[in-house]
Amino acid sequence: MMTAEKDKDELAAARAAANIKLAVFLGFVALSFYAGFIWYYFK
Amino acid sequence: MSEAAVHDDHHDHKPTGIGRWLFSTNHKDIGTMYLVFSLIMFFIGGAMAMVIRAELFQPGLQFVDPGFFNQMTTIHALVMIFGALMPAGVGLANWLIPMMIGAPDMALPRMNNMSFWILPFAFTLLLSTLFMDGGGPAGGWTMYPPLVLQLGDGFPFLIFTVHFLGISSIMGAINIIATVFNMRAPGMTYMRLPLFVWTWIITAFLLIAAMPVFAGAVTMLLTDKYFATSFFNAAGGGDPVMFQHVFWFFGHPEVYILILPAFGIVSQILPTFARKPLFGYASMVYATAAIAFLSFFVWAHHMFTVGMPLAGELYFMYATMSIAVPTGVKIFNWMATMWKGSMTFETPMLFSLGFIFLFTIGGFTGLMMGVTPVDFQYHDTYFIVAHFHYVLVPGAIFAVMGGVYYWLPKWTGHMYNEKLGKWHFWLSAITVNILFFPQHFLGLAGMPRRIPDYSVQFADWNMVSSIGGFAFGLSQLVFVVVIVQCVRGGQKATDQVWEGAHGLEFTLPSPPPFHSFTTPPQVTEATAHS
Repeated sequence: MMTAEKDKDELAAARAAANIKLAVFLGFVALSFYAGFIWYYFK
Repeated sequence: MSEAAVHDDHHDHKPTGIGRWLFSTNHKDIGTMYLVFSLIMFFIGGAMAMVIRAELFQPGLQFVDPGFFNQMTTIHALVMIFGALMPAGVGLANWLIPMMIGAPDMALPRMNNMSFWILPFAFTLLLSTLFMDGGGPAGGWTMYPPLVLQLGDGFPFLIFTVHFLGISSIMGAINIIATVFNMRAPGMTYMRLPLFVWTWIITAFLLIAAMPVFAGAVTMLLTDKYFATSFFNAAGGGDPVMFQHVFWFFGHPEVYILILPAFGIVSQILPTFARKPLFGYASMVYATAAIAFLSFFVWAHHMFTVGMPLAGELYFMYATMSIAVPTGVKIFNWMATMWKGSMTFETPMLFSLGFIFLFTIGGFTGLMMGVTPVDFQYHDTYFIVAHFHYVLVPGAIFAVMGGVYYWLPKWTGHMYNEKLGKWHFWLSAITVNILFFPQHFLGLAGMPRRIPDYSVQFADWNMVSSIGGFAFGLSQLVFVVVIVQCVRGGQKATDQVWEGAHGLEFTLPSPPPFHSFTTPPQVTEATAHS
């Protein structure tokens, strides 16, 4: 594989990983709002 | 760059057949599916509105029994809000955000597919309740207990519909945030983003904050009905008014979830046809953020009449008034954008101007209702119905239609029929006022909302309103004709489409290739936004 193409693929993989990390984080934020809200009323 | 985009570097092929749509990870195809779905739901919700207006054409019970009438008002609202308007906004976001920021696709293409395909299943659940014992939900889209708990077999279907819609919206919101945060082209700084993208980032955060609270509240309704809890059941120590607080903590931001993308669309269209840059770009961004922030602190203005301490009433009144400030900033900025511009009045511009004028009427009646003592007269009357329909129909829906006319040549590669487009606008603009303006009079005269029958003194304006409703409904068929004609052929659109258009999407061919910006463009101040 050409070096430039390899760099491009590595960059793309890093960006895909960053996307998934951010999505998981935001998903947990949403879930914590949901669960936290119900828990608050259970108290 | 997304996984799909990496893949696309090696195989730039376009899938065919039903699989292209079922398994699509392409932002343009998914955007198209969202928009088509939204249009279908617009006509389903519209058909329910026709039932409502037919029944209200004259006093007495004409066509449907009161129970079914109540199902129509409830499901009309749910279908229009969650099935027509929100998917229209997400469809436009899907089509446009990657092209506007110079990205090859959305950040999470598979999740994008799932976000869309949840919707048809969710609405099948909801609409199937019409055929169940006890019928569909009839207690209003606000689902207030204890009334909503009287619903028959359809109740769990309603709750799970809301859960599915919430999951779909939150996944869509996460995707948009990840796309804008991680996928921007080099040089596309935050303050160079097109206003439409900004309004969607802010809307996405609203969705993530508001939808889970709504999902939590309806889960508690579910456990109240089937698992003997008493969250909102007064007999068990619960508080039904608390549900109203929680619902509107979601419900008021929801209003801005519907309207902020519309603000973004209008902010794209006006500079193009005024041939001037958007006036006060930074203030538009800050005003949008301010509106979104404030939307979480005004919820109780929807429920002044439940009885709350004077301090609470005063707080919610003044907080509500304060939202007029950033909203006013936006409206004055749009007017300043047009000031001394070389304006032309193609269909997207007409819809945008209609939006500004008629949305402002809806905004002003909103201010009237924000005044606590005055709201005691308006509450639960047709004045409220007139208000929110002005905000959502000639407001949000006009903006979406303007956006469709604006970008349709880019999407299809053909110019639409301008003459028919203008017919569509003028028919819609005239009939929507015949439909909703008399409802202000009805409300002020004391006609309650959500009733199938009424006193004879309300007869005349109801008849006028119904005639306007049927005419408005028929006018929308013109929209379908224009879209179908444009998709099938027509005069070839240029890459820029409109003489005054700016932005990265207009640097692509019309129609854009299946995979756009596989090599990110270098963005400069000059190429950034209009």
